[in-house]
Amino acid sequence: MSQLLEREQTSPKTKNQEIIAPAEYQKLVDNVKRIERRMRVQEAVRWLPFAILAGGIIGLVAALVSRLTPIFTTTQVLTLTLAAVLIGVAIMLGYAWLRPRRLLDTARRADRLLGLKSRTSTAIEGYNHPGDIGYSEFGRLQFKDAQNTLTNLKFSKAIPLKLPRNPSLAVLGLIPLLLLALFLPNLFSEQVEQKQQVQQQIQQEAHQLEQLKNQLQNNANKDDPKLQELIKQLEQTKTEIEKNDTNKDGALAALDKAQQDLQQLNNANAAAEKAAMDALARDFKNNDLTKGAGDALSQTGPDRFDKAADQLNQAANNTAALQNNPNQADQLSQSLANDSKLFSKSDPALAQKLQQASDATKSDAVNKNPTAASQALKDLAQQLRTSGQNQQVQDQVQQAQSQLQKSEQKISQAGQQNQNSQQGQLQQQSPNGQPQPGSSNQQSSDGQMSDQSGDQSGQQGQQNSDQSGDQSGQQAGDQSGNQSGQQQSDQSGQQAGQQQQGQNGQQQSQNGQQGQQQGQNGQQQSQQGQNGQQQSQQGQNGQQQGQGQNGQQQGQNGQQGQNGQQQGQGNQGGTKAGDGHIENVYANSSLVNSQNGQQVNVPGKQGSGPTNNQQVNSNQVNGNSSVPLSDAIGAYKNAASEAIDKNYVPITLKDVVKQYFNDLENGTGGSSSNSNSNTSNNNGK
Amino acid sequence: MTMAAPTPKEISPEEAQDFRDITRRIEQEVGKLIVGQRDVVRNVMISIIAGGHVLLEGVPGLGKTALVRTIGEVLELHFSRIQFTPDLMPADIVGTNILLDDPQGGRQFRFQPGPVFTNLLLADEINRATPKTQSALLEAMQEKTVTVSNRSYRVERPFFVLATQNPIDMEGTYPLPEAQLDRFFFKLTVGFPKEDELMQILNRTTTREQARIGKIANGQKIMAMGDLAREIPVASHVSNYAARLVLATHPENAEAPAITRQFIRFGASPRAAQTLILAGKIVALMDGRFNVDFADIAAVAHPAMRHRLILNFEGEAEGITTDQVIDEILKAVPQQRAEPKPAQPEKVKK
Repeated sequence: MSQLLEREQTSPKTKNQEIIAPAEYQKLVDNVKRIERRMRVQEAVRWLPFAILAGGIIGLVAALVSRLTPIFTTTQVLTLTLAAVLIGVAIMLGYAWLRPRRLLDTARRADRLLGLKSRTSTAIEGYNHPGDIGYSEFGRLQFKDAQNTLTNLKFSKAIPLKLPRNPSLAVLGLIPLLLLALFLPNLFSEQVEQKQQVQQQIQQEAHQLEQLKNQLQNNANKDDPKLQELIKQLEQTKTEIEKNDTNKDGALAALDKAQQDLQQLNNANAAAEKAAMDALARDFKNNDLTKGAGDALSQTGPDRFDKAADQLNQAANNTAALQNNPNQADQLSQSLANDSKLFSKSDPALAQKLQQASDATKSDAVNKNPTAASQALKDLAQQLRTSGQNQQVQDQVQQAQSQLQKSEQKISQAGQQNQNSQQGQLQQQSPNGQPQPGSSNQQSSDGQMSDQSGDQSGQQGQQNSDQSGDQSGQQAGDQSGNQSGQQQSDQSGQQAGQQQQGQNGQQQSQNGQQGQQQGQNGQQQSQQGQNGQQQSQQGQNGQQQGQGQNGQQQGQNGQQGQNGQQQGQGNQGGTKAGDGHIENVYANSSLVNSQNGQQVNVPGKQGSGPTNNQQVNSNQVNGNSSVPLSDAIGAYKNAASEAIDKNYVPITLKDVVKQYFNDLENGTGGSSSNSNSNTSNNNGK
Repeated sequence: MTMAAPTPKEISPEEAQDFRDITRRIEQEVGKLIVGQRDVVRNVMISIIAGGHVLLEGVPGLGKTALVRTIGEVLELHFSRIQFTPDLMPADIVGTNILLDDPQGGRQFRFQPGPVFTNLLLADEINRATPKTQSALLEAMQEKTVTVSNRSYRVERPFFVLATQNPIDMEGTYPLPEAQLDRFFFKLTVGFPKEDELMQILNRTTTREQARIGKIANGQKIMAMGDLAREIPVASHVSNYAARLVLATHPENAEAPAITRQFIRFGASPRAAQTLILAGKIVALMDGRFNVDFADIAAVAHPAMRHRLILNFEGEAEGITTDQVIDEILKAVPQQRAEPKPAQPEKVKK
């Protein structure tokens, strides 16, 4: 407007401009602008109901459509409505306030609206456009007439700020319709929410895979063919699940396939190799010459093999110590020979070097040819360096597998919580502690429900949960006390009817770094019960899987035992959320060796996350399990069948789950349980 | 040598006020004798101030002649009256050369002015004269001159023709040609008085007492008032409205309303637009304003255009009047056209 005014004022001086002072003209312009502002406000008020009406109609249409097809949730419709209204109002305000309008046009509108009989427009035009209107001897009179009329004008009545009646009534009528359309129960809303949760979860998992892939690409061993294959596999999997971000089954199938593919990359003897490496570290530490190498090998850093190799090279230069101490030489030789046997299957090359070193470090051999002993140790150091790299790659493959497994589990669980609540199939526990199939978010009158989300536990980095006592009842969970009945811990919110049973107490340990379990009787079992399964996942911090049978000890230091398997993976600081998942299955009490509980320490890799230790003491409860497996298995099978029918279980795993429960029913559950434990855990059923 | 710029002439508020006072007093004086017919009186006065001629149409006995005579008296104008009959000759209007004996015993022609040489000419029942006689007025009305025997004579200023015609009893009449109709500033329809007006007429005309008419102005003043009114500024969108009104009377115009296209054969001439603006100026000044408004234009649209529209056969057959057409045009033509967008700089073609 000011530019227009300037442009108009830059035209050649006219006679009207000679006889009318600029200040007077500016006063007239100011009055016109005052009217213009009022008119803009009036326009805004007049159009406001239309803007609201437009947004409301959009919202109403969206709400109605969402009742016919699962597109929007109530929140989304509400958001859409508000956004449409706000956009409409913003457009209206923008148009009303920002629409450029020439001063002369405003004057003409003011003349018309205020009944000024063209006084203002004639005055402005006569001042600025003399060519159009010509000089008038009435110039000053007409100008003053217009100015006086405008000055004395009270335009509040002439330009009223009133909402238009009909659109306002339409808005008032639309509001209840919209509210009804929004908040009346909608059969599709839960479905849409589940869909969105799945989609969100899939995207989140894709992001996790992307992060893992980037991490691997920055790895020092990135040129390793195995690692390259792993990165490629992760990229494919990520792309695949992103394509299926709305298709839960598709995403699960992609993850499942990726896991199978990664299984091929996995070294079948990885666990044995890891155990052998630990044994080698211990043996190194027990010998003064190689103590440095043993210490380095016992560390957890990725460069521990390099450090160990360096230490071993230093030891190789000090073979004189062996010459001076034949016992030490023989001890080292014997240890290396034993270790060579341990590596014979998992890493033959290292086993060979160990054997050569063993031969060369015998006391008589050292005395005869110390140079050969030195060279053998150096060769061993070099081979150790190479094996270390392979070990790291193997760790990363396992980490990727763990990530895929976790992603599959999360995606399979996404959106099911709402459905469970919708279906009203909440688990109810009877006063005597018997669980009912269904969701686990209810507790008995005797017990306390412990519901920890896996995300929360995963953020803790390390968590110890000890439950001790001669509990003859059933106990499961982390935060219990004075439990005489049954307790359940639902760490994923999806563990329906999964219980753990023990006679002398059961302990669950969820550690990203170190899991410790202590029993009251001095016996600790990592996991007890024939069909017991325990799986703990803490973000990327740790994963622990255990399968025990008859209470046998599960390996040493968290390594693999005879009938059990533990995997400890802890890294990356424990800052990411993870899912704790405990699946407990009633075991026949007669099958449980309650006296053989032994302590198992499950080490994980160092994480930087905070540590939260919880110790829950419960009253001693005597007696056996109140619910035998035969009573509970039917309910679980029903729940599993229902999950299968609703396609919560990937197609490829449906038969496995069915077979699992059939075997349990037929009394062959022990073997089935073990063989299918991973499957059952993955699907959380 | 440089000349000082002339000081712009300005009209004082007193002059404008004097204009209003005179017109008001004229209306009052005429109103002493003429009952009602306020619009007719007002429009006649507008025409006279504008220097235009008026065609009065109405049945006999409505006071057309009395109106003209009264105005002549109020304005102190020389008044002449011609009763048009079929045998009226042009020379009876403009005058003729007559042969006279001079003192020296010779003979010579001498121009004998007709009744047209007056200030206010009442052409009563102008449509009863033949077209030849009617056309005798054309030159005087437009050029304010009369040519007889190749010699032109200027009529007195001011010169106004107020013609009357009877809409009934059309047998033996000669409708005015379009060219002559166009020369009338206004065509006014004199309506029949209302009941109270008729009673007033009876009271005033059936007693001995006659109203005395005062002289308010003279010819020079009237012409000065006309000049003053012409100084009233007209905003471009108002004059554009007048132009669009006139254009809307033309059936071939794209913006003409349907009634124009259906019933009009010829639309109004540019004189109609001039009439609208000039009459609008006078109306505005009489209303105390110094600018013309749309309402001023619309107020004079009927008298300014009704005699300038030529109905086609369908219009005549349907009994459509030009006033009906003008009413529709006033409804159809918006006062303000949608403002054109500001000119954008032309894009340079690559």
